[in-house]
Amino acid sequence: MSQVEVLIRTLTRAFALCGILFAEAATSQVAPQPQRVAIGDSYRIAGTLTNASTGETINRAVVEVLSEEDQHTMASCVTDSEGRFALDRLAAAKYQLRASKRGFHVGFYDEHEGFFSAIVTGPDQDTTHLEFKLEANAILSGVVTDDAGEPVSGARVMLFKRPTFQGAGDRISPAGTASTDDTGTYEFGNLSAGEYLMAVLAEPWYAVHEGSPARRNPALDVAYPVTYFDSTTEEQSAKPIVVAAGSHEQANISLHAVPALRLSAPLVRATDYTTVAPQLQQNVFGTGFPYASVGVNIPPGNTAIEMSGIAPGSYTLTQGNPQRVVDLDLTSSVQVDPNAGAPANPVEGRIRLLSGAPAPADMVVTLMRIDNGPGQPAYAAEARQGSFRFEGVPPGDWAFAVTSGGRTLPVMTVSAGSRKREGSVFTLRDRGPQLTVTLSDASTDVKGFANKNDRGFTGAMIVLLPKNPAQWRALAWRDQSDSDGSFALHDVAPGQYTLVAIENGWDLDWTSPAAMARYLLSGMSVTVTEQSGALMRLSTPVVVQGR
Amino acid sequence: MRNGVSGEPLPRALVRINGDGATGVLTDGEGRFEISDVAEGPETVTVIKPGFLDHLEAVADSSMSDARDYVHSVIVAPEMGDVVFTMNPLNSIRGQIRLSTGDVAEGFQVALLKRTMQDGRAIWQSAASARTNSEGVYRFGELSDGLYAVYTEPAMDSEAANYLLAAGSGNNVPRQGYASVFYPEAHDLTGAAKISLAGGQQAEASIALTHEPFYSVTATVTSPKAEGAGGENVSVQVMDAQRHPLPYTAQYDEATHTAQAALPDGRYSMLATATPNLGTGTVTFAERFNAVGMASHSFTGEVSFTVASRAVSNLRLPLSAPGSAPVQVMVERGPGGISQIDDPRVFVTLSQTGGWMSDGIVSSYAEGAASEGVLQTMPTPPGSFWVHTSVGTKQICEASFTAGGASLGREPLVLGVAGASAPLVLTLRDDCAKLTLSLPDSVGLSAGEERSYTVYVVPDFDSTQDVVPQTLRPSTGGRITLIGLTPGSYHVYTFDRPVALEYRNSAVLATLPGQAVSLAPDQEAELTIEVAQR
Repeated sequence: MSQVEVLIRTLTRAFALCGILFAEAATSQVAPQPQRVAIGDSYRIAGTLTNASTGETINRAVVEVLSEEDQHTMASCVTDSEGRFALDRLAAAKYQLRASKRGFHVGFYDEHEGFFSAIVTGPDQDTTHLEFKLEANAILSGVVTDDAGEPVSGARVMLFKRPTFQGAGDRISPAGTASTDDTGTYEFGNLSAGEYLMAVLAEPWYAVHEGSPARRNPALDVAYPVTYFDSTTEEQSAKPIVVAAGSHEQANISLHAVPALRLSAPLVRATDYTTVAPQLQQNVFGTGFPYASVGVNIPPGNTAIEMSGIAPGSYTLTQGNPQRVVDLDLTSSVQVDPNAGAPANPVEGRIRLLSGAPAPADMVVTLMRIDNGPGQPAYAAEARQGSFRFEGVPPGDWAFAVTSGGRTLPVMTVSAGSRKREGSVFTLRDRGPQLTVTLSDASTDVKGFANKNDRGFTGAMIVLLPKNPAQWRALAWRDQSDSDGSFALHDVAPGQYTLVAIENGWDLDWTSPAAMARYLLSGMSVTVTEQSGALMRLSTPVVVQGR
Repeated sequence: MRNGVSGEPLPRALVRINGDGATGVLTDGEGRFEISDVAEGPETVTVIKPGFLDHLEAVADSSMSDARDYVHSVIVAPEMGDVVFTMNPLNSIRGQIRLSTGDVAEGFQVALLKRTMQDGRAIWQSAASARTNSEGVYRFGELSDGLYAVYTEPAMDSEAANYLLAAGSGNNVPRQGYASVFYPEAHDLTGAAKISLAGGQQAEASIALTHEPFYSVTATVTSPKAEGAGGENVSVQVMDAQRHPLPYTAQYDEATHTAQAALPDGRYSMLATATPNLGTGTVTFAERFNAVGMASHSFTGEVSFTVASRAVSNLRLPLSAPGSAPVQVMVERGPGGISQIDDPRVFVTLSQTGGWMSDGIVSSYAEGAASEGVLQTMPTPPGSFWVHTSVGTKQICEASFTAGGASLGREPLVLGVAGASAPLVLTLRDDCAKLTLSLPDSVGLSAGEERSYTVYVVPDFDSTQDVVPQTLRPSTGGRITLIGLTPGSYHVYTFDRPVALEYRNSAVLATLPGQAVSLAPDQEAELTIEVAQR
């Protein structure tokens, strides 16, 4: 069951009353419940809620059952002083079970990376001894100070998370932004466990960059470079902050103002006589942020643009027409040559659906860099009536991702003229012919059961991987088996796959062919074709493999 | 540079001459600064330091205190003496939210209200909001002097309680939470303690919240449009029994056409507004860019109800096209008459009155040419509003503005779902007067910081035309002419600093010395303002 399946379908009705049968303190306040139990509506979901890292029981938490179809809440109850919950008079059906409590992440039963096990009630189903674990929020807080030891107000504290796996496609990704208050204090209050990196962006409150060089006060023409924990300005020296579930970590940072730099870049005219202003981006852990806090001046003649107040550091400048992308490691003021950097060519193309149906109107195409070339790590463009255009993308290896209405449509092939590549990765060279990106719009749901010792097994990681590892980035499906062992993989594209079910598999790097090789050997072959229809039921259960 | 509260020198403050960006300097350890090579004549200077505010700004009681940009006018001359600027330390409020369950009140939303002046009336306006940290502590920093109130936003037991309910499940889903509370323990602003801050005060305002049941409220929204037409965005606002917005959230479930909320015991109403999606064909291209055009496709509805220890599920919330009352405009002509070329444009705006969440929020109400006799009005949600009139041609002024005979300069306009209940009549006249104000000869140009005066010309009669404060200083000529003044008697109030005057409160004006002026039709009067001697 996947949390991203927020489906809008018809609502099935079911009724349940909150069972407070265990709660000794509460029973006296509850009126006797009417004994009008419909035949069949006699199932119960019950268990104990505990803190995942300490094992302590969690009292007064809200436990809810949600409709499988549209995630509307159908019934709820509150855990008693020993963390116990019970929801009674449920019809035989599949339910999502969710628990929430202030200070904890809202969690579904046995949740991993957005996947969880739904609870199936019915004859022969034990749904009354559930051990439901919730992860406590971790907290990271600290104070940002300046050279004078005074608090820095309004500093932008950016948190990044190290990927769980060092897989090829995994990057350090932004994990949140906080702003310091007038005491220089920031706090991230609901972190999940993991390894974080922190960067602070700020401008000295007394900075003055304008004016002619003779009149400028050098003591005020200063800037703060991006500063990483523990107060270093070198990105590679950034110290990781390891956060455990439920912990409270402290990370203070002091900023040091240095002379601000100036950057002059050519201002060129586009064919329609508008000027094309260069764009400066600051790079922090591979993510580009528009650099806004600069003074901008256009000297007479309108041939160049001067930016002032720039802190030393790593930037990407996009300039010229046609665009060129320049990676800059600024240590002193510079005048950027109009021919500097790699040409960024327009990338144009069409989206084609495998079924031949017209492309949806609201698609977004994203290009993600997978080599170490210049420019932004990602570019996004809207696709209208199936056509897309990126104004400038530097050459190199890029992965295409296409979403429509919040749903990602798998990329089957990318082709340009006679060049055709399976999967979503494509090498962009000089300005080339139109690209054709072919997406799978198949709506084949693959459903089956994961068994261990001939019984349905709950909580197994289910992975459907293409036989060709080059397609793993674009064509892989995952799920977690529900309490009766059932699973569903939605909208699977035609192809040849291996299906595996792994017990305690959630800390495995499923994107790594080496890590998966052993399990693939004993996996089940699955072939989905364009004739498979809306639903493909696997006739034999997939056997759950141990770690 | 001095600290206006302690009188001590203020180090590390930035002094900047405006218009010459390069000229900035930090004060030294003794609070001294020096800027050389400045051109002779008037310059404007701004002073900046975190945690401090220019003292003139700090005491101005202005609603623009966030701008932090009070500008000093300094006449620069050779061999001039020291200029002394003063900054006041800003204030703060912090507090802990304590829960009756003993849980830590992490992530509670706390709102700050400040008493400010808007168009001559004192109102309570939202000044800031904060979230409690992992210890249940909130903080509002950098607050200028003034009167404040603090309240907590309602909070459910857990964030999951904000999701939608399956139909008919209201009684199966018991919900609990913490109602909105004003510091220290009031349910509304009237009962709240007002926190007076001045001179760098650090106030404490902790609030205890009691865990209580919330009950699910479901109302079926029916639209006059054909069933299944769709393409509408429905927003739902929870209000108190007096129709003032409350911070409780309500959601609209498109699948079941229901408005859903979870509320503690009390009397409420829900206001729903349906606006068409821009993508649908019901709205023409031109209408999308026109407030009246968009509003003409909107529907609103309201339902009142009481929550009393059980879920409320049988409510109906029918939507209908909002009504409105057109504004009739009459023009009284003086002997000269209005030339057709000067046909004035008239703009009427409304500002909400009452209710701490919406007080002072301004919306456009009516506009048009006076000669047409009727102004086109924009649909407006029900409520109580102060009316503000402005006229595009300065020779034209207001004679009166009434609703069913009651003066709108004195009483607020009350609009229901169907619009105004009485005819609105705006009478304009074209024999308006001019008044030239000038500084006395004793206030002239001299080296150093220049004194500037804030002047309010307040009518003794009802008017929906707001009074705009004027600033007079020698370096800009020391004179200003006001035109388009309704003939009648006025009082002129002069201050030697920026002041946000509560000029619509006669009790406040009674305590101030004012100069009486009477303006006859078409008169061009002159007045030398009286300034306090130093």
